[in-house]
Amino acid sequence: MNILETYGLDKSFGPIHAVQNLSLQVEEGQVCGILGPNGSGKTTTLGMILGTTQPDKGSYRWFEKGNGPEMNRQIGALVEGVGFYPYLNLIRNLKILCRIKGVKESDIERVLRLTGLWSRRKSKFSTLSFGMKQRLALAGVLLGDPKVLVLDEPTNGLDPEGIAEVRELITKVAETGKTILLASHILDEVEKVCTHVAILKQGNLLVTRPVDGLTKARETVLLAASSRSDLKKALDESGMVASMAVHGEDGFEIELIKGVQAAELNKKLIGSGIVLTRLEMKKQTLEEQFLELVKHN
Amino acid sequence: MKKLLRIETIKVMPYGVFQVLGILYLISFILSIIILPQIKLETSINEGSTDLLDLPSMFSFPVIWDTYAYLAAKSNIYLAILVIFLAGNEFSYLTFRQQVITGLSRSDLLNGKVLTIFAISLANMVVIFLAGILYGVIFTSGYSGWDMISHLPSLGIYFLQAVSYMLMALMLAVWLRNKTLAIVVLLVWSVILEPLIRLVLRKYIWVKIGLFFPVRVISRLSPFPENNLMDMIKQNANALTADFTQSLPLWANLLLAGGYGLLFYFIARKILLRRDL
Repeated sequence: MNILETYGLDKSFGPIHAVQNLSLQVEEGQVCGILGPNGSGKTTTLGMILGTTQPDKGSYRWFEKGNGPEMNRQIGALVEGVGFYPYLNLIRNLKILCRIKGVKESDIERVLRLTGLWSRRKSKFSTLSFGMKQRLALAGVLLGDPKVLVLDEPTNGLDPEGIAEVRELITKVAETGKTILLASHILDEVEKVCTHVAILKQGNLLVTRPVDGLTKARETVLLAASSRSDLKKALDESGMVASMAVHGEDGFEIELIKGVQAAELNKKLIGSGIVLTRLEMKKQTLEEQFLELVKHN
Repeated sequence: MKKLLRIETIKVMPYGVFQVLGILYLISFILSIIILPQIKLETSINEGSTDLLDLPSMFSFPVIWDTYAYLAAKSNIYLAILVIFLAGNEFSYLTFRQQVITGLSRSDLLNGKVLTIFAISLANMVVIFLAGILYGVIFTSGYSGWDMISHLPSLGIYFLQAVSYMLMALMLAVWLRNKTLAIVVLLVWSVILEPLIRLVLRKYIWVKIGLFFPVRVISRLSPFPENNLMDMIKQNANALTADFTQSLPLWANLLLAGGYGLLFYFIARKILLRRDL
């Protein structure tokens, strides 16, 4: 089942075209990372699918049904800039969210314990540190155990320990089969917790696919032999190499022609009298793929 | 509706500004009903001396309801400022946005505030009613049951007045999204701009046009009770006092105030439905 479908979403702020004709599908159980540099339209996209930003064009629907308050109540969402009353304590702030969602107030203890804020439950929101505020927002997201989480830069402002905790929390939640949309510009974060990724640049959706597929999409092979010139000649003659670059003192980093396996190349090189001293498959990291995509689009 | 009211109660009751403005409002109202009856404004008309204000009679049944409604209406500015604080906070704290994300509709956001306005006006009416009953029973001599209730509708009219004025404040808060600016605009419009525009239009367009302006319409719902002073002012009306003494019939003011209240509500609603949060 598709949890979220967007059709041609478009949004401009004056002369800035923040999101352009964005069509996206997120299936049930996916942990979908929305990646993009600052200003790429991630937050605007989330704002539109959560109903806080009005799209100029296009539409979207949740759970293959529609959109609006009823759908939002089934979603836990954290967006940039948490919205709580500074003069209320944590319990009262969460009570408001419970009333809106129709969740029992007894759930407040669970989420505050889960986010490590139970001991501060009677503190006013204004007295919390930035990291604690972020954790309270996460607690609000988890109220009522929603099926879908939408998280915009959830580790922003957290210390390393807090970042690790939030990542662990997201991974744990994802393991329960929940669908998560995670907007971030931290590639490492997305690579660690996401199953799928959508990359945005200047409001355009560049690519959407599984993280694994993306990192495997451009696999290269590191090769080395006792004589680099002989190796180069054999590689040129093999007809199996799509691109080649010098790597280290005695080798090359090559990209194989589609469908060719490294073992086949090795066999051919042996046939040409070349004995490899190194044969290593190198997967491109998400960061490398991302930078390449952003650079070339 | 019950849900919205409960949410608003959680937000509003512990809010410091609500408590301070509420107390200020009550103090100013209580002080005015204690001090004012002691004031005398004596003048000689013909051969005898007359208390122009005749305040003791204004604080006796049945006129006490008109007087209390008038005094309470003079303190409506506190309530309007409170509404601006309550609505403006929702923008500055990003809580309107958070609540839409969590599952409230944009109409619910506004309706919650309108319910708060109704609740404040109702609570206010109850306070005035209790104070009026207490003061009237103690200080009115020789009254009948009819005297006690015959001017009671003034409280209902005051209710509409408070609601309409607070809806104007709510519209400004939603439109401007900035508490300070909204308060300044409300005060400048109510105290300076609208009276000035009324004066200019009265002179150059139509003498009665000023009677249709929102602040004027709303404020005339609870006029200064009829007494010797008002009679004297009316008898000696000139261009300056005419703006104070002239008024549309009550039914027309009621209709217009209700209409303005609805207009403010729908403008605020349109703004809130269209804008990004």
